[in-house]
Amino acid sequence: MIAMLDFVRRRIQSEHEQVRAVLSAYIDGEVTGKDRRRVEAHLADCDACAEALRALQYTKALVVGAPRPRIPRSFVVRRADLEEPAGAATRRRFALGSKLAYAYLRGATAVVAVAFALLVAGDLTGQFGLGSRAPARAPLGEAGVAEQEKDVEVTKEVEVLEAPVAIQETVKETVAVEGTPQAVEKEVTKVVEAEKVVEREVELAPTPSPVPAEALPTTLPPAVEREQEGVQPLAVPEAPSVESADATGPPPAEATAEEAYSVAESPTPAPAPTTTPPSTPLPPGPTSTAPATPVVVTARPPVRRGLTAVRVAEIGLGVLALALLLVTLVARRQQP
Amino acid sequence: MPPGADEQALIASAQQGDLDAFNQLVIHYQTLAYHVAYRILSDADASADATQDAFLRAYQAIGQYRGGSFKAWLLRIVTNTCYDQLRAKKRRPTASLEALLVTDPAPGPSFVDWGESPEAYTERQELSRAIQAGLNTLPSDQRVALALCDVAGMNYQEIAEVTRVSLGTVKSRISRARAKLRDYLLGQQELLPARYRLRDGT
Repeated sequence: MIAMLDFVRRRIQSEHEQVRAVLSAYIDGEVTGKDRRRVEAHLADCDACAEALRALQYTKALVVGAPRPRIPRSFVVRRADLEEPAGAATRRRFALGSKLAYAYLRGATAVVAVAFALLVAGDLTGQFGLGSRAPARAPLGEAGVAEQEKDVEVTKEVEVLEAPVAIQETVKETVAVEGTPQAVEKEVTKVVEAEKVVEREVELAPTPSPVPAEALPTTLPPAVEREQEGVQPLAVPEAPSVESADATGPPPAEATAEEAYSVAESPTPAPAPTTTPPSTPLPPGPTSTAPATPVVVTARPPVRRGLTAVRVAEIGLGVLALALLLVTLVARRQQP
Repeated sequence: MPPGADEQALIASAQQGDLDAFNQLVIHYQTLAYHVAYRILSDADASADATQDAFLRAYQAIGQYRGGSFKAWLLRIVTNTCYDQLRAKKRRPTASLEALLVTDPAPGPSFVDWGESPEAYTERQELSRAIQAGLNTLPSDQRVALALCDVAGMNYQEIAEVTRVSLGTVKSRISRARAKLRDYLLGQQELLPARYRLRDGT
């Protein structure tokens, strides 16, 4: 019996509390429908809650009806108000707290954060070790030289292949002059031939590597001039290379030897310029020759360099993202 | 003022940089804005500053108004400038009770005409002071909610939008604010002018 009374009392109590909790909203007309009917039913039966309602209504009436101070002045905006603090106004507009700045900052932060995340993700999954071309471009040291040497070899091969034609032409000429064994003329033809070969090289060069082609004509002539100046004795000092001599075959030994020399010699200075200027014109080199010698050069050293580049980019982006985040948070705090 | 269409036309002109059009809006809303600010700040000077700053900001930001209740948009700016004033006040507190003195009745429909004998005038000042003192006992969030409700006459949904909180939060803020204010005023009955006392209270 007591327990039941207790239960009833608790029920009533909780209903009181429920009604009291919404009395203010009820007064403001913010309780509708079923809830409103329930509150009204309860108020009809419960004097205490009805009393509470009256007290709240009284309170609201006092606040609503309280005498209001007359406005001290007009708040109309004058142009002077706008122009005088024009600096202040624009400063405010572009200040950190401005909506626009905040929006831009938020966007920038998001972009940098996403870029950072992508970079890290890519790094972690090893994407950059395989796909990126950036690291392949990086090597300027030993790798570059190695590449360049390969390059030179390629051009040399081409020259040697072309050589026979040149040699045969010279041979004809030398044969014609042969009766009068004048070394001078031979040398002249040799020089002519050397030039021809050089020309051919120039023609050939562009295909494997475009940059050496530029370097060749400018650097080679001096070599040719040297030959001319040095005349006979200097021009033939070294032993002709054997393979090219073999390639020429039948023509007179002396002539062939010399021709072979001219053929084998002139190409050799040619590589020189290609090896000397690697510092500057290199970058295009690897990219264009890469297909020809793809195996070794691109693979090894770049990996190390590429990774460090990725690390640097990661750190940079991370720091940038953090800085932007901080500034954005500051801007956010200043938001109205 | 202007029924909706006129108001929207004025807003549109103001958005084109027409200061006169904007000032028509100011003239219509300045009393309400000042009263809301006054109930929040309970300081005439601070309220005037907050109101002026709010209208300046409103003019500068009018391009960002995207329809909806202009009153709610404006009062959001007013409450923000009030919060700024409260923060500034916290930094350098100046308890000036002089500011609580009511100077004159405010014109307009919201003003309740209590009868204008000198006696009544004094009573009204006392009443206003008592109410303001009661409001000052409330946390600022509750005070803002109550001012928007009872001074600006906004519904809970509008208040939720202005203060950027949930409907439930508005409900509880107003409920607590009014209960606390009721307790305060019931405790000050003897200080209230006789005719503003809760009639059958004790």
